[in-house]
Amino acid sequence: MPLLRLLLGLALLGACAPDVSARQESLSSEAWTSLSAAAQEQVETSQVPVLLFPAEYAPMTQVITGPTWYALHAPTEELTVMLHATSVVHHELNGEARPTGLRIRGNLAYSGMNEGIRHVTWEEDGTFYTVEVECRHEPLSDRRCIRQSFAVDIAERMVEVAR
Amino acid sequence: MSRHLLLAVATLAFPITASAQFSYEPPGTLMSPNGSAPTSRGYTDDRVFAPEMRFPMESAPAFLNSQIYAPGGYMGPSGGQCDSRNYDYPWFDNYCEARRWSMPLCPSGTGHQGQDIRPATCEDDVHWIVAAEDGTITNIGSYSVYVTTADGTRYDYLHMGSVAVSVGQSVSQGQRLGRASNEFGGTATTIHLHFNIRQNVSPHGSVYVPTYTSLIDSYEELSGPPAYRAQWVRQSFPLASTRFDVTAGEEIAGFIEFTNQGAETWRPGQVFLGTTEPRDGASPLQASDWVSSSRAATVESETAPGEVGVFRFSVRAPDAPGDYPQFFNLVREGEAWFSDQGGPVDDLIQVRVESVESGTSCEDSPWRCEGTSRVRCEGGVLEREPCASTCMDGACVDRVDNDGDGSFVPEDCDDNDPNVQPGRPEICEDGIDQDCRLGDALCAVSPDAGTPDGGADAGADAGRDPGATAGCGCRVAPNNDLPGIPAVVALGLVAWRLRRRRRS
Repeated sequence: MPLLRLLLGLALLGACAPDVSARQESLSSEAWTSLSAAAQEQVETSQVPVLLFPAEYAPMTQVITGPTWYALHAPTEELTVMLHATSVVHHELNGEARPTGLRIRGNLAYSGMNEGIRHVTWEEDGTFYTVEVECRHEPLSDRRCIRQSFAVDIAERMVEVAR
Repeated sequence: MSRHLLLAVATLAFPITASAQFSYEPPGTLMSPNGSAPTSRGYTDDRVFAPEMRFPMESAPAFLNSQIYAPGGYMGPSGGQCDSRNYDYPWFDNYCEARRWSMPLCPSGTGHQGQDIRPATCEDDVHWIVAAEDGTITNIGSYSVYVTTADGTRYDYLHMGSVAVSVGQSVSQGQRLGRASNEFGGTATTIHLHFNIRQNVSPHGSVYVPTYTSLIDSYEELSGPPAYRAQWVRQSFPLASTRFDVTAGEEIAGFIEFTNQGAETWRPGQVFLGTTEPRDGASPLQASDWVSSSRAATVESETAPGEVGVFRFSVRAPDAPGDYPQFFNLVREGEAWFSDQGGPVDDLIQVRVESVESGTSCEDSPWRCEGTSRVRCEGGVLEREPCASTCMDGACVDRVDNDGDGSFVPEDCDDNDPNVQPGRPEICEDGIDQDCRLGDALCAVSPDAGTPDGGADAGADAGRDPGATAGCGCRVAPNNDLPGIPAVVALGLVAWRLRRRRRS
């Protein structure tokens, strides 16, 4: 498929770890092929490196792009899963980064919640990614929102689109 | 009958309207539990993170305050969410209000992360919310809508109803997005907009940034300039950085000019040059032409917006040699200090006199006050004693706090009532000036429409009790003419700047 230039980052390591690479390649393919054609076209226009949601969210994922960012929006019956990514640094302040024990995709990461909406955020190769999970019902008691593990798991399983 | 309909009926029967000129507490000033004095525990920097944004409500008025600590809130004074006190100025910042949510830009490391905005009235699904900037809709959840601008700034709108946009749609600044409501994943919150701005901030990464100053600027753009704002133009007195020697007892005449940048015309007898730091303090520089010991002059003539107003007055060098700095600001008597509206701030405009010996002996006199010092003439020699706290009736006295509420006279306008002090929530028409600001407030509206769900947001927003300490306060006092403060000379003034630079 000429349009498809999708690779899993880990798939590139396949020569060293064939079992793992085969699994990752399968995941990546499904994450891509399950996207709508419109979403695939939007991915092609992104000006920043694209990570896709894991395959189970692909069918309902909308991809929106702007000059310096892209976003994913995947509503399900119980959740809305979102991603915001941009390469722009808007302000510089004094001070030091917060200490954190969280890592996502090998990068320092932060987790938090705002009005019941869980978010995890990290910087990867100069792009800032934020994954958010909004629980449709009782957001303040739904464990997928009040705990970080669900959002972290989605972020860890995101699939890189090679450009 | 649904709860939404009950609320709408109740609020239509008792419409709520703004009762006062727009004013706001400084950035970082947070409401405290149960109506105790607000404290500056938040993000106090004046930086405007989104200078191009439009105010996210389609029309004014709107009211920024807490859903937790305001009347009807989980930790607020009694009342319902529709209490008239929630629909009045001044605004309060609640970006760093106590929550368990991680917030690296807040002093405590946690905070509310956004700003709660109440629409003009306590009516559900009536008031339109609009796009703060041109952008693209990047999310619509069950109670959230996100707009992302070209530079990747993201504006989050939470708790809206009647959402009028779709994901992927381009929107223009000011375009309607939805209406202010209480949507919250099936559990109603109070009627308000929770408004976030998310940007990348080095070294913290992608975070919710403070919105308060951006909202103030954009609100002034929406609703017009404040009633009272001024910009210093020039003065005849030397700037404070230049030593200005005046012989003890001598009076020097001069003036200070300001441009009227507010919406109201300045009129003689209404707008005065008053003493600040502290406000209304008796000045040691009072000369014979002053209106009172704390009012150097009134504006010379009617000054319409855009015109320059002149304040002519003399300064008198105190009898005791020494350095006498004096700050001034403009005040609309009985209504507001300019620093509470659009500036300048209280600690910028200064006349500073160095009183020097006249070479002649003085006539014996008893102790009297000159500012916070006391002076007397004994055996032909002038003696001056700086007081550790303040001077009253020729004696050095400690600052008075009879009621132990942490506020001192004269800032505390009733020092025998611990429920009265600057920063206290004002209860309208009860005969008491709780906040020491402009006297007892008038009730513009019938109080609380009586909804049973005040504080419904508590479940979402419940946080730690941040504790309370004395807050800042400001009041407009009548002219207090104090008897016979000696005089002599002079001057200086300094710089000035607007508290917040307006965009052209």
